[in-house]
Amino acid sequence: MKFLEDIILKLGAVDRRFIFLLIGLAVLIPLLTPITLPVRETPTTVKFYEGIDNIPKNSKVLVSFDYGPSTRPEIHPMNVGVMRHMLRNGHKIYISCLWPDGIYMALDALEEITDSVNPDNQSTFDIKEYEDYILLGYRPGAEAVIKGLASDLRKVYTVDAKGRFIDDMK
Amino acid sequence: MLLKRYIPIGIVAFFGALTLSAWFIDNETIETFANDDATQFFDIIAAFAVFLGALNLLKLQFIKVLKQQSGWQYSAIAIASFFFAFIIGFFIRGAYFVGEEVYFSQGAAEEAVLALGSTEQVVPVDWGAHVQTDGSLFQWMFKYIFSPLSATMFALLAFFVASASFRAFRARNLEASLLLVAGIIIMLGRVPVGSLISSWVVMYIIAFSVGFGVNAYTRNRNIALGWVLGSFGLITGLGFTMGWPIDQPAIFYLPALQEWIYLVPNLAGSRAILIGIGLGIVATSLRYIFGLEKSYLGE
Amino acid sequence: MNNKYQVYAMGIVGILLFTLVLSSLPDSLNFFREEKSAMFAFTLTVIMIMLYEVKLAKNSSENTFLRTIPGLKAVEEAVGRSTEMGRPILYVPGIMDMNEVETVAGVVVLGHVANMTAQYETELDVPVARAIVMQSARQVTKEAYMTQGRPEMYNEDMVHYITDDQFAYAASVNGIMQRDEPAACLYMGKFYAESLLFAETGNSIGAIQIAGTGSQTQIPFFVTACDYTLMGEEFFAASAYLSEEPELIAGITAQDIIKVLLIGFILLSIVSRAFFDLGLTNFNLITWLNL
Repeated sequence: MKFLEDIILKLGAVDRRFIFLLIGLAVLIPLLTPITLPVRETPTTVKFYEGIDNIPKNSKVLVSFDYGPSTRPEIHPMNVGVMRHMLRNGHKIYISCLWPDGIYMALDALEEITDSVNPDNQSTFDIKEYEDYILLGYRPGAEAVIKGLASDLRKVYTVDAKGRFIDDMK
Repeated sequence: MLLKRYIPIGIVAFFGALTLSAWFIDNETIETFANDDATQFFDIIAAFAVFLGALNLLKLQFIKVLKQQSGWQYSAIAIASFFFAFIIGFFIRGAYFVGEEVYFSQGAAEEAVLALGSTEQVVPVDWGAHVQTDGSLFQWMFKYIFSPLSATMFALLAFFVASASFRAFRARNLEASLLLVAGIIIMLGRVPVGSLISSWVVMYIIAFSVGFGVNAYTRNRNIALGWVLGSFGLITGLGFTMGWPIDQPAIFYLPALQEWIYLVPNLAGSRAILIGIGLGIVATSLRYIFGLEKSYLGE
Repeated sequence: MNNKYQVYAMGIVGILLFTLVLSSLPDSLNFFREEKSAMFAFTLTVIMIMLYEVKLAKNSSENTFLRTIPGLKAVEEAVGRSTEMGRPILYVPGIMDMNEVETVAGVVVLGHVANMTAQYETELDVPVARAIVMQSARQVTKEAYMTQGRPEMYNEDMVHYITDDQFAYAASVNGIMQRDEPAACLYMGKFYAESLLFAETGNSIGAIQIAGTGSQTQIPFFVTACDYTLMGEEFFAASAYLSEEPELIAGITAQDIIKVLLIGFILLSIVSRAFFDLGLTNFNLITWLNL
């Protein structure tokens, strides 16, 4: 018992660099030798999936890219998955960004899901800008932009990310 | 006194009251002001104020370089980076289209046209769109310099969370022990490996741990051993009866337990703190609106 | 004391009647959003209680009891420790702009800390992430040094701008901590993911750390890594606590009274909702009040 206590006390006093090393190994080893484990969906994931699935087919959907490279590993795969789900259900996607970095995340996401850019991927789509999606771009103001989008999108976005007038688009 | 104190307080009071009342008044002008215009006014002021900040930053970094103070080399890099991004953003288009291909400079685009013998025109991207265009110089800077640096800083959090948790999750007292156990359940329940751990394994672990408690309370090893053997036997019997399902009983299945901890006690606690924060924000905002608190003006 | 609660009761009745009148105005005069009547009545109640408490505090000679908040008591201890060690104090007023209440509260607390550093002649370093915050913090710090009679100690570069970007700012502040090794690090304002970066780096240099934020998701990180943490309303009460001004403390008293009212209302709503869900009544208080 005393022996166990001594070990626990020694562990408690360990230099934090050993902890950093353990974390580093915990990240590096699965990266180099991928370990596949079954992923079980949580109730919240199921609700989210059903929520998207229940959107009436061929709707117009706003997807907002509000993250940057720092949180990209966390959020980007989810956003790409959401966009694939949207496109599979025939929705048209309007891409807005409330963060300045979001526009680049959006461009990367579009690269991943477009046939012409990523032909080797099985989960890509033959999508065209201004037919299947519009990249509206970044607007500063966060809450003000959201309120504006709720009242009149054309007031907030007069031009898209490439400078084309929104009023010229159907 | 009038200019330094009463006019600013008056402005805060007027606009604070206007924004607050806009929530209750059915008038389009006031609503538009509170919801759109006021926020945009602030964004414009903040955007121009960046110049003040940037000049301050440059001033301090230049002083460090000129006086060759400790770490001046980093200041030199900071100044160079600042001007690099500034020039690319404001003075260089960095995106010239030849069909679908994008080139950083007009020269490179024209060379490409000649090399390919193409009849395509070189089309420069519009100012403004040059920072958002795929393949532009600004996007290159963002993708290959800013993104890796930003991701690196965020990645540090993984290490810091581990070391902070290691320090915090020490079972010094009952509350810390509860925190430790809840932390383990949440961490394991959230990852795929947690769903592979059968609820029966968790039951055995709990029975074994309770054995320690029985031993500490009764100070009799035989009773503790009896408890452990008895509970193990009971669990084994139940397991054989139920057919050892991995996720039953659900109360001991880590993902289900994790979900419950997250949605019930954790949410209750965080809502309580949120209510307190909300009240604090309301009271503080009212203090500013009514001019009770003037310290932010430098009184 | 009984008079005070009688005044509040009459006030609440008056507010409810006023709200009823506003809701009943004819359409031609109607400028009031009826669906927000409950929130309107609550807002007026909060304002009434706050203003009355301030009025009572102005006319009273009694000191209101404030419970000890260890984090705020430790601020002076932290400043003293820095003075003894001859090392600076690092103050981070959050990463957001002055449109956030927490940032304003952070700048207000900076004023109090600057008073102490002026008194103790301790070096103060305030890196900021927004230019408007820089201007406001400079004004507050300058006034503090003037008030203490130490204008020569004030240097406007004490408060300096770094960058707007979250992680670039975190990297810079971490660098300042590693190089300058402040004896005390104070984090007061709105924080996001960079909170743990600050707190862990401060911990590694052995500084005493006091954090205060209303960012609910960052409170656990600060609690884990800092010596003292002001959680939620404790942070907003900091200004009243440090200044000891009766008017500001009256605001805290008002907050407590409102909290009691809110708890009563929540309990009533739970009972109402329970009876509704069990089919015992057709009345649901929350739905009726459009909340």
